[in-house]
Amino acid sequence: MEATTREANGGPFRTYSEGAAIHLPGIDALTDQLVNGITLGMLYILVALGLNIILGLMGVINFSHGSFFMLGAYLTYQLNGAFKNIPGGFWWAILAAAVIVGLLGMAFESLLIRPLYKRIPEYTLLLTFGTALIFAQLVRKWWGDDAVRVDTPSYIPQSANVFGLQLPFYKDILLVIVTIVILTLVWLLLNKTNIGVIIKAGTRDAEMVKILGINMPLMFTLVFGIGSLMAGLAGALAAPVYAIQPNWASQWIVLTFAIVIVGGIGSFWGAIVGGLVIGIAQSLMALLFPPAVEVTAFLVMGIILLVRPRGLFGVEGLFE
Amino acid sequence: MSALLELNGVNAYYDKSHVLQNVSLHVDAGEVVALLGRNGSGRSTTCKTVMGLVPARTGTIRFKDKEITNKTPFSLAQLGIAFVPEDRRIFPNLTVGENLRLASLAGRKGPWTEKRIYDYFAVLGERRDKPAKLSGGEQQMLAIARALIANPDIILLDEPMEGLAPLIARNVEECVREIRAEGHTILLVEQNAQVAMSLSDRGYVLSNGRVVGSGTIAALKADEAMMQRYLAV
Repeated sequence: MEATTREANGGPFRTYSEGAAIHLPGIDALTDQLVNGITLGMLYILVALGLNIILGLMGVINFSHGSFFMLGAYLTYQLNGAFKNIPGGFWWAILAAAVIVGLLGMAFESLLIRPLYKRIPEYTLLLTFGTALIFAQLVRKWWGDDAVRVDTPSYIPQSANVFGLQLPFYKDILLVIVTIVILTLVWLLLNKTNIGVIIKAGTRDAEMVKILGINMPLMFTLVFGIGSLMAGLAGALAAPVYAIQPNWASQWIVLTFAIVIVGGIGSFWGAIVGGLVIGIAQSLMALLFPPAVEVTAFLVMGIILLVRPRGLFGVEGLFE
Repeated sequence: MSALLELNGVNAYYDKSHVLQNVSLHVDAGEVVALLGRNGSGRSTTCKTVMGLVPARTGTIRFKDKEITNKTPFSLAQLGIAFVPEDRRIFPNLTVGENLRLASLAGRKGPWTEKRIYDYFAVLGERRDKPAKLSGGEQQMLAIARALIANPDIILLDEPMEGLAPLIARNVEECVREIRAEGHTILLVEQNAQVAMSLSDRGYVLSNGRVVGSGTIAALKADEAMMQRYLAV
């Protein structure tokens, strides 16, 4: 089947065939799906890392994180149309969508989540679950039930040859490069700046960080903003790849939690390995046994949890 | 001159249990004041209430002539109060250097610079770039260094010798003595009354959340009946 047909299915779950038989793939199809899995993994990593930073530092189980991903995509759709006469409008749309979602996240944290910190974590879980439903309905109301699409600008080549493989340029090359750049920036932020030291310390003992004079409420808002921005950016980058639908939020949030659990709560490398493992596993399953695609992430999660209850890179003492 | 830190009729609760009952005390600049008493007498809670970690339901706390009752811990730290909690709370996922850097971010400039800390605490200097997985004594040194590097006006030192082997405890004691000699103001909570008194100018004796005695160390020692009753020495 052609790549375009697969992409038109919308969402991350693409299958080669509707049949339930196990297929013996050729090497070309295998490589193709491996690359697909990596691309999908890149988006998973961005969303999961944002969720993981918020979860690890603040202990907030944010069910609206998938909504921020979805909003990033819809805003890109909206802004790409609005910016079509501006040079580089496509890129400005992606950037603006991500920033708007980041700011929305900051407002969301300071107005809705902050009053709940002194309560049990289930309160924020319920709140963010409720707001996720609201976001989904708002998106349906505003952009409709039908899928929308964002086209990449004509100056971006359709495909390019890498190591003898003819790959879709935006989806399999540009998106991977952009994600690696973003991950490098996040790594530098976490490991080479004072903000990173505060975040790392805060994931272990936020109260002690306050005792040392750090304004943690402000830090929480900032971190929630960064995490939301990453979800928004992933949605923005995904907008030209898949058909954008209002059910993205619910599809992605459950997957994202699975990825975070596979990788380990609070771990940077956990989000990366978890995202890649799930992305690749899903894509290979789409080739080998399509009916099982939707349960792949949870199969992987179950296996990992049996062997490593804290996930691959989970740290002792977090959320325990 | 008014006191540097002053608690006036402070009442605090853990749920329904009344853990601080009408506690009044003061610490003058340059003094080391000991909070004495048995476990559960409210000594640590007093420190936590000053630091804004346990709310004072009634009463007032003043610091440098400003009311600070129930302010947030980070704003109190920025005002010049350093708290060294009894469990030390070192960040094991940071290096020794990062632990200190974190403490200096919101701290003030003063005699304690990073260089001076490493000169003074040689063991920390050696492990600067290593993860802060330290022995109890080293953790305590780092916890104290973390307080000093912020150049605070007062250090609330909660059980610095707790859980340490006798020899290590003596090192920490020596360290506190030297810091005292530098002229730092300290509110000291220490289980061992003899050690606490040898380090302090004045003391308050607490029992069941109340102040039951106070005075200079000499005066406290002279009151044998009280020493027997509340401190069992």
